[in-house]
Amino acid sequence: MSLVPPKLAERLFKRCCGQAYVEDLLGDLHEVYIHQAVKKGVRQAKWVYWRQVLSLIFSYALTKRKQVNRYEQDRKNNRGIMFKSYVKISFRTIVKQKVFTAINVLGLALGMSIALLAIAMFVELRSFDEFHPDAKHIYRLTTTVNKSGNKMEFASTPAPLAQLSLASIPGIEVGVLINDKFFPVVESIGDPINLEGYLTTPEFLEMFSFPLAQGSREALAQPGKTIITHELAQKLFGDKVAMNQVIKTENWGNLEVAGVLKPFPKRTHFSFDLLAALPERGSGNQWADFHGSYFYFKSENDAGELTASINELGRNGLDYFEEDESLSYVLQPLSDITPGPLLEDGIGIIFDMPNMLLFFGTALLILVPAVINYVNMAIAAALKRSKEVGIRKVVGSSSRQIINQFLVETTLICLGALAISMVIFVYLKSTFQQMLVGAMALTFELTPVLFICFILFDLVLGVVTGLIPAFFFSKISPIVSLRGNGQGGRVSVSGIRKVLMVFQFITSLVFMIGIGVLLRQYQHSLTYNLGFHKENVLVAPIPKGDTQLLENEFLADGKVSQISFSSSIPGTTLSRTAYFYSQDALDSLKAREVFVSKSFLEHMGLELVAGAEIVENEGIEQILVNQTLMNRLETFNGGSVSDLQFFKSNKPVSIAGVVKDYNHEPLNERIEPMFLRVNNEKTSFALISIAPDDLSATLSRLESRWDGIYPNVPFKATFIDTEIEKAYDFFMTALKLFGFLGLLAITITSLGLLGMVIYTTENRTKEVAIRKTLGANAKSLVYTLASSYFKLWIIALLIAVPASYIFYDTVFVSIYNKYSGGVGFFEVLISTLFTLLIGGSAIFSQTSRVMRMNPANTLRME
Amino acid sequence: MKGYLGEFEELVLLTIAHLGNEAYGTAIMESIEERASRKISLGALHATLTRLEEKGLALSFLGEPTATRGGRRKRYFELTQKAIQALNEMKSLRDELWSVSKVNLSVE
Repeated sequence: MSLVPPKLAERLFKRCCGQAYVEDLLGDLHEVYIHQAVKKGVRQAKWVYWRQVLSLIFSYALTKRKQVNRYEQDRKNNRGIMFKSYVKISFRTIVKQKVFTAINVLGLALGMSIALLAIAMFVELRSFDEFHPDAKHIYRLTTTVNKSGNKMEFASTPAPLAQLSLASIPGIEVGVLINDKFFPVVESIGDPINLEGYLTTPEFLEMFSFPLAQGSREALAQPGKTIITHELAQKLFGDKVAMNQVIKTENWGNLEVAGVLKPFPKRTHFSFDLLAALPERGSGNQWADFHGSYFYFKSENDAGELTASINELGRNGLDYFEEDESLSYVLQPLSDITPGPLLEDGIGIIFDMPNMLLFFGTALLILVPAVINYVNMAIAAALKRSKEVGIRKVVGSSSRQIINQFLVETTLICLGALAISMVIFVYLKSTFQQMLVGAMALTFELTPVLFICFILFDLVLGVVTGLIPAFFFSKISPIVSLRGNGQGGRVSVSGIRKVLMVFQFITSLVFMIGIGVLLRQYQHSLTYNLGFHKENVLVAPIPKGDTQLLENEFLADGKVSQISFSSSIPGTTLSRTAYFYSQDALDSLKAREVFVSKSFLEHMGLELVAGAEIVENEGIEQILVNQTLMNRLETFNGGSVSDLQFFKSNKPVSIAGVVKDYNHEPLNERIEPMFLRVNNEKTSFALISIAPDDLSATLSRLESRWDGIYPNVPFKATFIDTEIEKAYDFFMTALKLFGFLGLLAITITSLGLLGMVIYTTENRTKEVAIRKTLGANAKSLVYTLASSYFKLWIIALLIAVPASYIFYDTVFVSIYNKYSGGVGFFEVLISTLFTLLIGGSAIFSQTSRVMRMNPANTLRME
Repeated sequence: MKGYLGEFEELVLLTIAHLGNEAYGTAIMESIEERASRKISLGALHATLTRLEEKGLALSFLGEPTATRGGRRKRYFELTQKAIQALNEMKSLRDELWSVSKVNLSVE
């Protein structure tokens, strides 16, 4: 008996299964059929067979087998092969489109460089303070003051609370109080050396890993002793032994070096030159006045419990605060300090998250235009690539595979860009370290971790950049793309890409106008009339002591017309301050202090508005004040300017005269309250007016005269203009920063523009040829080719110029120059024209190339 | 619980256990139809078998071609350790529920 299942049903089943493996299912069906036929006859068996076939067709078993067949098998077997194919085809495309690749690799490399810097900085900041043993268990206590709804977060903590916690919480193994209001000024030739230090206890060196090279940490328990860093020892004593030397300071007396630290890693938020003992302080209102007082401790207990018990102790101090202030104390793990939240009254080097985000924002601002370029150009290349995509689709490629192809291509280009960008990064990092405050603490070492971060960033960038072109191409219909020049032979700069280009122009314009504004302000600062004589004035740092000898000696030289002495070079930053007290000693007024010789006033050409010059310092000391200080004093002392006292020495002073306001400090500072004291002993610079002719001879004569008086001190004379210029170094920093960012932005934008114009013109060579044969002239051709870009430029100009004018005028300029009168029309115009010129040259280089082509050749080729 | 074992799934697993080396599609189906006296389709059975495989409760492999079924191979099924564990849990749960029953469940 030959029993054959119904053929039609079997065929239907096979058809529904397609490629899926169903041999076992067919076998099962067959067996069921035979059994049924034997039991109930052929007719019934056929009926059952049909039913079973239908049940299987709609069953999950078959659906699953089909799926597995479609994806899994193919992909498992071919994944490697397909990947190789993607890479191979990508390389071919990259080689084929050399210009496109070069522009993109360069653009992305430039764009990435700042981002790499930001990543390197972030990665390095994350590793701050990890070198201390048990860094995981070290916390800093921070204070949150809530004053009637106004919340302030401080990094510092009331000292009494720290002492209470140390004494009464058993979980705290070791704790240390640090006070960072320790700024010794070391006497030196010329400007005094300003140091930063911490007042602390010996536990500081126990808890944190700053090993001692010499001495013992117990020195931090003895007043008058100090422990200094390796760097400071080098700076102050050179190769001499630093131990037991005495550092003479102006404000902290003599400090004896009782220990020298070994060089330690810079990756810490602490920043100090020297350490000294924490003085015993009166119990006063140390609760409420906790500025500059920090508490670090080590504990393995649960942070939540510790916080609770410390807050409990914190209640003891509530009496000292105002009634509407409520306080809470928060533990901050050591590792969260950098990069950490923005806290008031921070210690050491502060890299907070908000500023990091700002930096990342800047990096993105540079990176995004480069990405836009890639997307723009990749889509502009659609005309060439669409046929390739069409054929791939016809041959059986899925959208997924086309997306993969483009992602691989983009990632390869990004990898190339990364290689170049790393070279830029190496160059950048040293410049960057000099530019940013605190960046010296960063090494930017290329560690394996950092390298992996770079690669990861690069891959993410590749995928993100490639997504838009990839989806664009995966959607191309094979019919349209293969039908011939279906898209009309034109690349339209349309929709979102217009917005992207306008955005690029705006970025470039803003940066370029910034450069123009800075340059103009720099020039303005140097030429501004500061209110004193600075022509042909030499400046020489002098040792402390009597100056009469030097004065006589120099004045004896025929070329020297005048000489005076001052504790600060006019036109540069002032660091000395002093406080005035009114007679009832209730209030004080801070003012900048300058020691000068008697001849200073006349020599510098300063005018007296009221009063007279200082006659002689006998009995009550006479001083000269500037107009600003005079005005302040009058309001502060209730209209009277007599009976004033100095803060530290409690010495009464009287005002002999009022000097007309002049800019003793650089123009980024307003004219602050300032006063002049006559005291030759305390001056540190000689100001020497000389005749401008035969400089070198005069200088060498002065030097030999100098050597006669100070045989051990070198004569280092510079012109006052040079010193003033040095005081404006911050302009150079800003200019470098803006210059670099502007250069990047404009290079990337121009590259993008160049790429787009190349594509447009290449696709329109035939059109241009026909126009030419029909008699179009150069002007109308340029208009046809470039008009769309010019329209975009006009939009960008309308947005960027007013916006940057307002920004620079209201916010930016006043930081750098308080006496400038704002942004001028001239620098904005020049910067804008310069930007347009660079962009324009990118357009014209290509349009003119197309225009010069012989139309006969172009048309014959088609 | 994601790997929840359904009543039919349990039935299929136990039948695979009963059939031992001879557990393939038609055999499982017929065994269930015979014992539980209920009609099931090949589609329903294979859908369940596929799901059991996905859950990691059953494994399958292809046998040699035989003459009886048009020269087509059989797909044999066997239980995994996880399936045995699941069955045991199921059984002990049932036993426990039986033993704590407050209603007399015995049939006279």
